[in-house]
Amino acid sequence: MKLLIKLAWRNIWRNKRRSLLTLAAVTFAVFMAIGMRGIQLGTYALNIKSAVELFSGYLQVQAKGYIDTPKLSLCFKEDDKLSEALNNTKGIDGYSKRVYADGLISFKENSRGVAIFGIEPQKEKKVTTFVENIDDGKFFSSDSSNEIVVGTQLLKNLDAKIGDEIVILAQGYDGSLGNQRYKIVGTVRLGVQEFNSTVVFMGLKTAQSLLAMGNNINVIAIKAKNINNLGEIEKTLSTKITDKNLAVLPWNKVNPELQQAIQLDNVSGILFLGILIVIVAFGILNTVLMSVTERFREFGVILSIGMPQRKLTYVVYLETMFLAIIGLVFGNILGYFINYYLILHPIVFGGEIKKLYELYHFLPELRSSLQVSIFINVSLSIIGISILSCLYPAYKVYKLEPLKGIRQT
Amino acid sequence: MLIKLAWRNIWRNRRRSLIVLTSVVVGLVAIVISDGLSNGMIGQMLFNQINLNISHIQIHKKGFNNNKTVKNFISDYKKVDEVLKDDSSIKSYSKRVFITGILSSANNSSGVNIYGIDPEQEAKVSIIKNSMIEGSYLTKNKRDIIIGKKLAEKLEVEVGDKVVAMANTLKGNIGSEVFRVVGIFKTASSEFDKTAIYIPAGTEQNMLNIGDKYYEYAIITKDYGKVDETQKYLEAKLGNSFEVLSYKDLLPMLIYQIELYKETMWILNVIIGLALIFGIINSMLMSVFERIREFGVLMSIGMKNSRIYLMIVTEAFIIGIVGTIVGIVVGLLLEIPLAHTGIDLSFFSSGLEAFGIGTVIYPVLSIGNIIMSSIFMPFVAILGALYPAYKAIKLEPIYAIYYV
Repeated sequence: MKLLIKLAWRNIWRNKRRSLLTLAAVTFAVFMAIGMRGIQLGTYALNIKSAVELFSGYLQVQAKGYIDTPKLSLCFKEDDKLSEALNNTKGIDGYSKRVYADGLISFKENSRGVAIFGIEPQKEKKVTTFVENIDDGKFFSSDSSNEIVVGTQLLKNLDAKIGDEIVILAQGYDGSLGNQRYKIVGTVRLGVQEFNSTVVFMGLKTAQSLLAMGNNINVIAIKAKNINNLGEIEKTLSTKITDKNLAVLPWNKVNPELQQAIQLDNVSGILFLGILIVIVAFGILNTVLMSVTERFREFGVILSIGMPQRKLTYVVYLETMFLAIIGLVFGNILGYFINYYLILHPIVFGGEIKKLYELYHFLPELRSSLQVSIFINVSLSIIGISILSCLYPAYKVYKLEPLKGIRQT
Repeated sequence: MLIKLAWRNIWRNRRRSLIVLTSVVVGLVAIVISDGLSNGMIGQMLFNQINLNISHIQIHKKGFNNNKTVKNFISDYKKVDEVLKDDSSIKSYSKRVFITGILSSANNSSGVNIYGIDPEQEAKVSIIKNSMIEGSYLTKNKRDIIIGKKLAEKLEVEVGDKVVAMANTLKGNIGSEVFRVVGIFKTASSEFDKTAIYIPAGTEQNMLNIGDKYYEYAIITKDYGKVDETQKYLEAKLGNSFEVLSYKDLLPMLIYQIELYKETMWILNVIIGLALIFGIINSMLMSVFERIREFGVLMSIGMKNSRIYLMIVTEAFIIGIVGTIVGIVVGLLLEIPLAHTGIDLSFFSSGLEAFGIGTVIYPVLSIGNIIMSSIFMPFVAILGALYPAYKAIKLEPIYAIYYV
């Protein structure tokens, strides 16, 4: 075997130029693949983290069926058992209660349909970041105050200003219409434009009284210590919560649009990598085939002096593997550097591209990732494709008859 | 003569040429297909938006688009009617009353965009009539309402159930009306199905206390390529108190996305070209070194260096051209059936619906992009041959003849 390796290694460097070009092709493909996957996965992770930490929370507890038909009556109370389960599950950093409803906000002759969120500002600070995203004014500090915070764009659309009093109309828990006067004390700006023009935050108790729903809530948002073991937390929590009417949902069920946008982008990225790798495979196939046919005469001689055919095909395979592995090493190193650079200096978009990204609920920022699986997956697929593209040349060698080989010119 | 020579040279080592050719073909097929898919996707997004409610051109009172409030109605709509009737480039139009409000059922309520329409007129500018999946479209009845599937699910109502619509009136108080759901629609956009509802225009005018006024004209032109001309004409005719907006003004992000997409196509072309060029350089180099002796002979009998150089470049160019043509043909053959049947991506269904694309993608070719690739790829082939050709002419004839 040692001899075969030595032979293969020497063979590569007999035609330096050709080997270097093949190397360059492999390196280029690996570099491109790692760079692109890095940007994709890094950007996804960034978006997931920011979306989850901005508003939805890592996990949510909801009434069963609320996710499909979000209505006020699908609500629940935080009883002792539930709070015990939430407080005693490992990996949970904090949680907050919320009420969601749709309503109509009116100021003078302007009115808008809005999404009303009843929240606990003090607890919410430990779970999500939107309370800190205040654009102007301040956030109300008590759960039961008469103050509200609205989206920046909504304030503009209403032609109102901070300090103005508005009226909110909403259908309550019992089907009756609630109608209350509130004071705007601040505005928030959240990534998505649509959200900025429809969101109204008020205290949890304030919302509960507007909607006549007593102590009931619609959602508990949970912050986890680590996004990677959500499955475990979900499982533990689900077994601890005995109430059959409650469901524990991870962020991707709460926010399926983000998940699907990511999937869509991910599939197109993988397809593109596939194309790149196939083209490189043809390059490898070509060089190996050429270098093999060029040496038929030599192979004929080697075979005549007693080298088993099987071993000769090993040599051909070893040559390809050497080229692939050296290319992988260079490609991985270069890929590591570009990804590292993009983590330190993410690409931040402005202007029109920024708006476009927001339209798709993405942050206007490209960041890379050094996730080990990127390097492993890319390397494995390159090795796999080299083995595949070597099949045909190796078969040619295997079928070579010594005498024919010698006579080949 | 040179071309003939180059052509014959290519086929002397058939296997090698075929492999290079195949890699070019694969690159081109990939470009054609991915181009068709993305093009189809963006086109469908635009097409769906236009057909749902954007239409080609909208007319409002000046300022309405930025502030859709109850007081921004068109006061002199008869004037608009007359101008539109005189314009022969207009196919059909629909007058709409529009307000944002709330729709409630016994179980739930939701923020909605309330469109008050004349059912017959609206059917000529939007596909809403053809999107009904349950019940019927709006009829003459004043208390009819049609809502989207998603909204019906949220409010838990079915055809025949009662709902209440509420909105701010011109007087500043809340107007409300009771309706009966006569039909449910489902479009390619789940967002639209969640927020849009249609009621008769007259009922909405009563509800808002605005008399017989309207807020929006939705216009479909005969030739969608001439929208800009019609827009200018209408602007001039109607004067300053109106805003005339084309779909390009109303969907700026989508239009921008189409622009941006053209640039991404360039990047795709360059990356695939780079991946291809290594293979081309390599095989051209090999074919040059295999033939060094031959070149020596050619030089000795008096062939000029520049001709040899040109011959090698021509070989690569021919491979590039043939590969491109075959690639485009194969790509088209794969794509044309798909353009009719569509590709069902229902695996991502809700993601695509959230962006208003629909779950079945019909690839659309853009001739511009194909022309771009078919110029670019042969050019890449030429680039790849420059260095090998240079190697060939640097030889001394005598040395070359003795080269083994």
